[in-house]
Amino acid sequence: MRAILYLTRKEIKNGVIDLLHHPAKLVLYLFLAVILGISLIDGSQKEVRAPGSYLDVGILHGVYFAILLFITVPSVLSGLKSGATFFRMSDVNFLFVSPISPKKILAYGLVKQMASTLLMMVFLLFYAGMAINLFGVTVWQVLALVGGIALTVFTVQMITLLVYSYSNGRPERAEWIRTVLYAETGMIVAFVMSNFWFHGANQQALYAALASPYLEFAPVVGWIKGLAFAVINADAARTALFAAINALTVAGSILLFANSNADYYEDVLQSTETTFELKQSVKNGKTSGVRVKETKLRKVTDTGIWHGWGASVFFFKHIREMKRRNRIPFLRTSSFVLVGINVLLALVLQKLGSSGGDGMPASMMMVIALSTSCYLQFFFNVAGDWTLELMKPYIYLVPEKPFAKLFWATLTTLLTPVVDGVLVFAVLGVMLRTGPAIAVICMFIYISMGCIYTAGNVLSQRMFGQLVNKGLLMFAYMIILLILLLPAAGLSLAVYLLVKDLPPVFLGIPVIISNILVSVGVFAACRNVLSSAEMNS
Amino acid sequence: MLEVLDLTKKYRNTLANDHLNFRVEPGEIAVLIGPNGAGKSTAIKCIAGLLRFNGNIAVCGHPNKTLEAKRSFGYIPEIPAPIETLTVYEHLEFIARAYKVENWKDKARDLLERMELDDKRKKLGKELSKGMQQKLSICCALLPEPRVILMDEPLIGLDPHAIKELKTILIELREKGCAILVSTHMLDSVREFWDKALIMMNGQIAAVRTRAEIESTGEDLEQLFFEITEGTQTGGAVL
Repeated sequence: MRAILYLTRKEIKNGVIDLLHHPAKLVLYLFLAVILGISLIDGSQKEVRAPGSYLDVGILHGVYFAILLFITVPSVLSGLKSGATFFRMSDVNFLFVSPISPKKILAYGLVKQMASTLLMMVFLLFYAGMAINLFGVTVWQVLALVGGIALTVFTVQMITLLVYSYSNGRPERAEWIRTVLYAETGMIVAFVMSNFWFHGANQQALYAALASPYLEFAPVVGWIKGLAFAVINADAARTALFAAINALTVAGSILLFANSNADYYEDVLQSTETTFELKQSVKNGKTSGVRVKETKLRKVTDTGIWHGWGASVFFFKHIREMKRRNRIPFLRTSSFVLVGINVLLALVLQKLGSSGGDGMPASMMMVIALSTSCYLQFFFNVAGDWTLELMKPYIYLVPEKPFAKLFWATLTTLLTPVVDGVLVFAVLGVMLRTGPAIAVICMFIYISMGCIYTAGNVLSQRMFGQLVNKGLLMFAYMIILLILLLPAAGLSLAVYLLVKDLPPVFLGIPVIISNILVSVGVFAACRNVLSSAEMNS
Repeated sequence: MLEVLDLTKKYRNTLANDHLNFRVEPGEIAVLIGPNGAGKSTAIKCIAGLLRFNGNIAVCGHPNKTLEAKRSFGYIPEIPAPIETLTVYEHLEFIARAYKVENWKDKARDLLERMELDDKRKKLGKELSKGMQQKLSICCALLPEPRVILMDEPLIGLDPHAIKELKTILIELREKGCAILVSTHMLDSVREFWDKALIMMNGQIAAVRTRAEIESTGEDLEQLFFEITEGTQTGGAVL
């Protein structure tokens, strides 16, 4: 135990010293801390408005529950395949082979994981101001919500380990766990939808369904949500009940894991090695930290790229890879998910609108769908073919002009939103009967946003290269995107002020023009970005 | 022919390569040898145009980052990184098309046979073992028939057959007039075929010897290597 305490003490001390030796990093952390402090102080001093001026708390319940499910389900599913780990390669190499009890090492790993989870959750507090403004909650209540998410991340990691250890090499157990997980998720969705439908199918019914106390008895996610909202509502009895249930869950998982399988090293080794390789490749500048998703590939029946000569082969290589992932290039699972989400959104908006009298105008519904789609596109775009191409050396080595390589290597990433945009807004245009002009403008705005995301990515690579700190890189990327979108916002505002009686939908045209011009400008400015793997020098 | 003049590479406060100067002539195999951290991989990556640097590097008379230079060299990285979703055959087709290699199919078949990958043509990059990935990486580098070949620890992870075959290929390429630069920290692995040894230490070339010099003076390359790397002589000075 002395060795572990020594290790922990030294790691903390050296971490602080390292931070002092990197003043830029220190300044950035201090800057983030000040911004966070200001937003929290500002939030705590906000005057309480009339109850009707806030959004219904049911929305907060729904969004919170969705976040918890979003953290839990993919993590447990991945646990069925490869396990999870909070150990590093150095722990494997030094601690696992040392004469220290595996249980003590497990405790050390858990404590470290808790610390890093808490640190990660600090970033969620940036949403505090938004939650306070929208729902009228206090700073302390926001802290309870963030605490619930931290607890979820921690509990889920523990459960994931347990699930892997229980199901590893036993497909029937993995299948059983998968069924339970899908059943719970399905029951939650069915409960909300049926409550919404059978209680009037209006806004109030939806909010009431989302905030239903029965949902809080759904295992793990429900219990954690129950705890967070019991704290918010100052309900001592429920707080005690859910705190006890959650404590039992965590303690039970740890005990089960430690007792049932004392030799857990093998269980965590594979995922520790995978994580280590990912970090190493980031350090060597080979990836942007995007974990390549293990997509199921279609069986290899034919082999060949067939087209392309020089730089254009990058495009045809991407097409070949797309065909290997999906039957039809550009039509990915995410395309259908996007259509599905938008259709569902349109149905809910139609239903909500009609319950209120005149109904929501179709153009307004399209704007909401467009905003949602652009937001989702941001995440779909992060692991595009272009980002993945930067992980391999070929893009830098091939004897072609850097701009030609940049163009051909980003082409599929630029074209994918074209297919998605046409698909989504054609379906919505027909469904909501908006008329072709609105649908086409929405399509082009969506496509132009795809250009901006890709241009922003190229620019962030040019400015910052492959920063080791993924969080900082993402922060920088977001700031760059905001700056690139400013001309579009300014131009649109100018048109709104200058042209009288212009139908609102036409305000999208300046956005399209600006986004495309800005993207072309970024590509031209970064035309030599691929002349070296050190793109930011 | 490869010519390196005053190559200096600095990572923040670390001087990885400090004013390196050397040439590799056509029909010559030069080995960059040195302990871990000596700066061998950094030098190879600079020559391959992957890193920015100060100084001048010419490949067949062209600055190394020009298209003419890139057409003339092949690079085998230390860590192979195949494309997960392409088959072995498609890797070679991709390289052939990217480098505009005419009549590449026979050359590809020959390389795959020599590296015992011909029965893996339809295997995806992600399905290959580390050794097979390295073999594929070698095939990709050699397909455009480069006149300068850069190899960063090429023998690591290969099975005995592939090591033997790669050594034979290197000797054949030398006979065809290729200039070959191999970085390694294992002297034994290059003992049979090196023509010029560049011993690196602390980012500098501490000694240069040709095989003819060693044979004529009776000097022991291994002993010289350890004298330099274990600090019994002044590191940095060209001996």
